[in-house]
Amino acid sequence: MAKKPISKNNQQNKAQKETKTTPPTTTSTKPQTEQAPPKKTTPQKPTLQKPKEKVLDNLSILKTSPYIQQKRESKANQKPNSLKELFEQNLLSQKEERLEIVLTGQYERALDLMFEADASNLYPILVGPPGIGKTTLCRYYAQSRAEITGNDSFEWITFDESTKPAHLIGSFNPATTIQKGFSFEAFNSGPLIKAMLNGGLFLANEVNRATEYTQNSLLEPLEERTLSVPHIGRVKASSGFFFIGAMNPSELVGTHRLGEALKDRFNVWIELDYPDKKTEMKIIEHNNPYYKVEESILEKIYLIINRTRTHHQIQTPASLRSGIALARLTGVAQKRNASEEPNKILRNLASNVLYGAIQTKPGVKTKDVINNIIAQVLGSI
Amino acid sequence: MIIFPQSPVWFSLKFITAMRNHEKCMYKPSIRQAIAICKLIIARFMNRGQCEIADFVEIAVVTSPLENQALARKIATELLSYSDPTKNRVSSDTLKSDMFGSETAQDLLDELTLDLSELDEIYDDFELLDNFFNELEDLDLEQLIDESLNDFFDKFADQLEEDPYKTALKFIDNNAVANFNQFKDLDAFLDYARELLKKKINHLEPEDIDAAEKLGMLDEISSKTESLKEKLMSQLAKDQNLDAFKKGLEERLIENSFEGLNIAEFALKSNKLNQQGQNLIKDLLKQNLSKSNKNLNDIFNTSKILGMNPKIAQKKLDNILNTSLKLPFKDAYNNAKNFDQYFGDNLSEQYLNEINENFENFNRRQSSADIKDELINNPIKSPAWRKLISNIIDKDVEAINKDYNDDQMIDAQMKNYIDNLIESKKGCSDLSCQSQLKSKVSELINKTVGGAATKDSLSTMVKDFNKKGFTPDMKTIKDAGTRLGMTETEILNLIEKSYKAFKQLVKENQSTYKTYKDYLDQLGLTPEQIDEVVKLALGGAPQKPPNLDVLSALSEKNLAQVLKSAEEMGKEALDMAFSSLGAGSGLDLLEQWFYSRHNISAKIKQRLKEIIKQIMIDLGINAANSLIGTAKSGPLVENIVIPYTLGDDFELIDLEETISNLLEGGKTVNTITNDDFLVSKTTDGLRCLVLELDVSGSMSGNKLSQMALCTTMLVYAFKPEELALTFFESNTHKLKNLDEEVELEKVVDELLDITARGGTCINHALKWANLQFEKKARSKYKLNVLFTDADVFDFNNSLKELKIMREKDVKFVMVVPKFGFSPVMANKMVKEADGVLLTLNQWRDFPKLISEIISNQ
Ligand SMILES: Nc1ncnc2c1ncn2[C@@H]1O[C@H](COP(=O)(O)OP(=O)(O)O)[C@@H](O)[C@H]1O
Ligand SMILES: [Mg+2]
Repeated sequence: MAKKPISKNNQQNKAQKETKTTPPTTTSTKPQTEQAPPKKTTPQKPTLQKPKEKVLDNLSILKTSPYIQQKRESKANQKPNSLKELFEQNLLSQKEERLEIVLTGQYERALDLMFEADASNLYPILVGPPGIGKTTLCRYYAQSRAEITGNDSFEWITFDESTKPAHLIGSFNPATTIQKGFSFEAFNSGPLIKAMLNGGLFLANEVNRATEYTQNSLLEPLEERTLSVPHIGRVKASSGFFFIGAMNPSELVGTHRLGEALKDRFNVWIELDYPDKKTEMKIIEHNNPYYKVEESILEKIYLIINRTRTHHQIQTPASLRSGIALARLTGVAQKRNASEEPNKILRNLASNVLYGAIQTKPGVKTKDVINNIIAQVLGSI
Repeated sequence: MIIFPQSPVWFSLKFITAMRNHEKCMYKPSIRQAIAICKLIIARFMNRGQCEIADFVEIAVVTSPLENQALARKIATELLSYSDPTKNRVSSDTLKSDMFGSETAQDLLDELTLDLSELDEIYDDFELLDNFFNELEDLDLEQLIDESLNDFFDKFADQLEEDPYKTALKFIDNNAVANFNQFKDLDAFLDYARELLKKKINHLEPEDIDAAEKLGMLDEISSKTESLKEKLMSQLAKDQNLDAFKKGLEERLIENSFEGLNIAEFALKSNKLNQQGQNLIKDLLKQNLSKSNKNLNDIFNTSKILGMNPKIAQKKLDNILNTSLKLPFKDAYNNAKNFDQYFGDNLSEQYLNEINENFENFNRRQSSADIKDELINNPIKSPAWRKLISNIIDKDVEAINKDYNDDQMIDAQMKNYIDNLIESKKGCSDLSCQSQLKSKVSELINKTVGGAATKDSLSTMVKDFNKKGFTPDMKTIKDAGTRLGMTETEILNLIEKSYKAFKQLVKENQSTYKTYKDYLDQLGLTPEQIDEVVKLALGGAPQKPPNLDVLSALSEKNLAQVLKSAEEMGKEALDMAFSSLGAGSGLDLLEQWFYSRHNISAKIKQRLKEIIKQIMIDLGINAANSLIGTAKSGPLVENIVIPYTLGDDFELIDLEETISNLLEGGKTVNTITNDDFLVSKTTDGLRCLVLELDVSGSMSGNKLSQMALCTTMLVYAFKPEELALTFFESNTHKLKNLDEEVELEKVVDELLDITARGGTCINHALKWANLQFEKKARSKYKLNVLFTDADVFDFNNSLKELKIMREKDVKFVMVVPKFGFSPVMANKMVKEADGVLLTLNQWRDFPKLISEIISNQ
C-alpha cells in the first residue's frame, strides 16, 4: 500500500498549531466555516446524574477558569466567519504575544551559543530528548533576533520520513504551470525559500528523521547559501539568513541518523539534557500561570517526573511536558476540591499523566512501574 | 596586549590535528571545524568582551559532534595547559610565513593531509581570520583611551608605522607599562626601548632577537650576554654564518642535550632563520635523536620543539626505550604520555611494555610504591598497564613474604597493603583501569584470605573486606576455614557475613538494580538464601515500599525460585514480584524461561508466559523496526503511479503516463486540473520468507532461546502473508504455511513452548520449504532462513533439497550459534545452496547481519 504523502497545507497547519503560545487547551470550539452544515435542531443532551451541588461546583470552576475566560473573550471579540479570517487573526496574535521562557543553566548557555553562531554564519544544532525545550528555545531566539535585527521572518518545518525536498523548496502548481509556464506565479514557495529570501531564521526540527534524500537538499543552502529551484534558477540567500537544526539523540527508538554530509555542515553542537531540579521546577511553575501549586507539591511533581528518568524499567522517560501537565491539573483540582489532601490528588493525577508519558522496557507493565514510582515519592497508601 | 590565552588559529589547527590522530576519535573532524572554532572565538569575544581558556575549551567542544565531545574536551584542555600562552600568539606576520614560531601553518595544514586544491581556499579563510585576530590583539581598550588623550601617538603616527619605531613600540608595549607622553622626541623613545632591551639581556625571549637587530643592539648582546643561546643567535643574526651557528649548537647538543635543545628551540622561535636554517636545525635535532643513549625525555623535548612526531625507526626506538629504563619513572612516563596525547602515538604503552620485559632489573632501582601510585593516578588503557601494575603488586607481595617470617605478621602486612591499594584505587580516574585494579585486588584478597595464618586473622580479614565491599570467594573461605580447623558452623557464620551485608543492603532499599546484580554475581546464593531475600524484599514493614530492584536482579538469576517464594507469601507479593520483572535487557529473563519453566507451578507459569511473550514481541518489534524494516516498509520497492497532490515533488510527475492520461480524457489546456497529473511513487514489492527452526535435543537452553528470539524478529519484520514457519527435529511441525492465516502472537506462543528433544532430520523441513516457495513463485525475493546447529543426521539427503533451492533462486541463509555447531556440515550445506552462513555470537547482532543480507539481494 502506498503511503499518501502529507500535503503541504497539512504540514503548515501542523506547524501553525505548534507555534501557538497559548496553553494546549483542546480546541473544543470549532470555528464555523462556510462549508459547515446547518446546525442540528435537537442536540443530544447528556444526562446528568451527579448531585446538584457537585455540578454547580464544576460550573463555577468553568466560569472562573482563566483558560475558558480567555477563550470566551476571544470568541466574543472575533466572531470569525471564515477559515481565512481566523487564520489571519491567529497569525496576528502570534506576533503580538511576547514569549517568555526560563533562561538559566543550559538554556542560557545554548542561547549565547546560538547568538554567537548566528553572528559568525555558523549553523547550530540542538540535540536533546523530546520535550526538553528545543522548539521553545528556537522560538525565543527568533523573537530576540527579531528585536535586534528588525527582521522577524521565522520559518520552520518538522521533518519525518515523508517530508520531501519540495516541502522545503516549494513546488509548481501543475495546472497553473500548463497555463502560464514555469513562472514564479505558478510556484508556491516553501518555508526554506521564504526564510532565505527574507534573510530570516529557519528551524529544521527533528532533522534526523528526514530521509537521506531530503537531508541532502539542505546541503546547498548550508554550504553555499544558495538553493536551486527547478526551472527558475538558483536563489541566493539574503544576508541574515540563519539555519538551526534540532534533533533527538539518535539512540532513541524511531529516529534515524544524520547523514555524514549534513553532519559536517552543522558546526555547533548544543546538547540539552533534562534540566537540574531548580530549573525544571521553575519551568513547570512558569508554564502553570493560573492555578499555582505550592512549592512542596511542585517539588513532589518534580521528583515523580525525575524518577522516571532513573528508573531501571523505563525505556522512554517523561518529558518536561508531563511535569507541566501534572502541575496544571493539580492546580485546577486543588482549587476545585480544596478540602482534599494534596497528596491524594497528586497520586491520582500522576498515575494518569504518567500513563501516556512513559514507555517501559519489554515485558514490564506500565501500571506497576507507575505505582512503584508514586509509592517511592509519595509513600504507599 | 594579550587578548587570547592562545593563538586561535594555532589552537584550532592543532586541535583538529590532535583529534584526527587520536585513536578514540569517533568522527574525524574536517578543516571546517577549525574555521568554525576561529569564528566562534571572535563571536564569543565580541559577545562577552573576553574569551578565556574555558571559552576556548567550550568552543572546541561544541564545534565537535556529540560523540566527539568528551575527547574534544580532553584534548582542548591539554593543548591549552600544555603550551605557554605567550608563546604561540599571533604575531603580525602573515600566516604563510612563520607565525607559529617553530611550527608553520604549512606544517600544520600538511599534517592534516589536505587536498592541494582545498589548500588555497583554506589559506584565504585563515588569512582573513588571522588579520582579524591581529587587529584584535592590537586593540587594547586602555591604550585606546590613552591614544585619544596622548599626543605622542598623534604626533608620530606615521613614523610609528615604520621600523625601528614600530619594533620599539611593540617591544615597549610587551615589556613595560610606559607613559608615552614622557618622550619628547623619537630618539628618546628609541633610547628607552634600547635601555629596556639591555636590562633584558640574559633573559631574552626568542622574538627579542629580531627587535635587537632592528634597534641595532646585536653587538651589545653578543658581548654582554652570558647565555650561550643569546650569544649564538645574536651572532647569527649579525653575520648570517649558519655554519658557525651549527657548530656551536652541535657541540652543545653533545655536551648537554637539554641545553642544546633549548638553544634550538630559541633559534626556531626567534623567526630569524630562513627556511634553509630551519631545516638545518630540524635535521640536526632529528639526527641527534638517533645517537645512542637518548631517552624518552629527549624524544619528548625534541618533538615539542619540532612540533611534530619525529617518527623514529622502531629499532632506534627500542634502544631509546631501553635507555629510558634508567630515567625516573614519573618523568619518562609522563613525557611519553604527553607525547602520545599530542601526536596520537603509543610510546607510553611501549615504555610500559619495555619495563615489563625488563621488570626484574628495573624494579630493583626504583621505588615500587611511587611507580604504583603514578600508574594508578595516571592510567592508560592498555594491557601493558595492567601487566605492570600486576607485576608490581606481585613483587610487593613477594617482598612482604620474604621480609617477614612470622605468618601472622605477614597476614597483618598483607591486610595493610591491600587496604592501601583499595584506598589508592579511588584515585584512579579511568573506569576500566579501576575495574582491572579491582579484579587484581579481589585476586589478592582471595589469595590472602585463602592463606590466612590463624582462625582469628581469617575472620577479621573476611569481615573487614566485606565492609569495604569485597567478598572473598565462598569456596576460598571454606577451604581456609577447614584447613585451620574451624567448625562447620564457624565457617558458615563467616560466609554468612558477606551474605549478611547483602541482606542489610536489601533491607535499606537504597541501592540500584545494578548494585544488587553485581553483588549477586559474586555471591552465588543458594535457593534457600534466595527465598530469604525475596521474603525480606517483599515483607518489610507495611508502610515501607517493597524492594523491587533486588527482585529484578534475583529474577534474572533464578526466576523459578523468586516466583515460588513470592507465591508462598500470597497474591499481593506475587503481584509485586511479577511487576519487578524486566529490568535488564529482557534477554536474561527469556533465558530463564527456557531454563526453568519446568520448575514453575502451572498456575504462575501461564502468567509468566504472558510476560515473556510480551518481552519476545517487544524485542522482536524493536529490532525489526530499527533494522530490518517494518512489515509496512519492507526493503523491496516497486513503482506505481498516483494522481498529483499539492506538495508532491514536481520532478516526480510521470510525463508519459500523464500525457496518455490527458489524451484519453480528451482534456484541453484550460480544463486541466492537478488530478490529471500522475506521479510515480515507490511501494513494497512481494517477498516471501520461509523459516525452519531446529528444535532437536542439541539445541537446548541458550542456543534455543537465542534462535527463538531471532525467529520472532523475522516474524515481526515480514507481513503474515509473506511468511511460512516450521519447527523440526526427527519430525517436522508446520506452524504456518504461506497461505495460512495464523495470528503472529500464536506463533510466539508456540515458540515459547518449544522443548528441545529428539534427533535432527532436516530433509523434510527443506522439502516443505521448497513447496512453499513453489506456491509464491511470483515473489521477486525468496529468502530461506534455517536456524540450526548443523548437527544433522540426514545430511546427504538434505543436499538434494538445497540444490533445488539454489536452482530456484532462493536466497539460503543458515544461522548457527557461534559456539557449538558443526562447521564441516554447515559449510558443505551452505555451499551446496550457494548461500550464506551466519555465525551468531548473540541475538543482538542478528538484525544487522540479516538486514545486510536482505539489502544485498
Ligand atoms: N526554558 C523553558 N522555559 C519555559 N518553558 C519551557 C522551557 N523549555 C521547555 N519549556 C516547556 O516545555 C515544553 C516542551 O518544550 P518543546 O520546546 O516543545 O520541546 P522539544 O522541542 O524539545 O520537544 C513546552 O511546553 C515548553 O513550554
Ligand atoms: Mg519539538
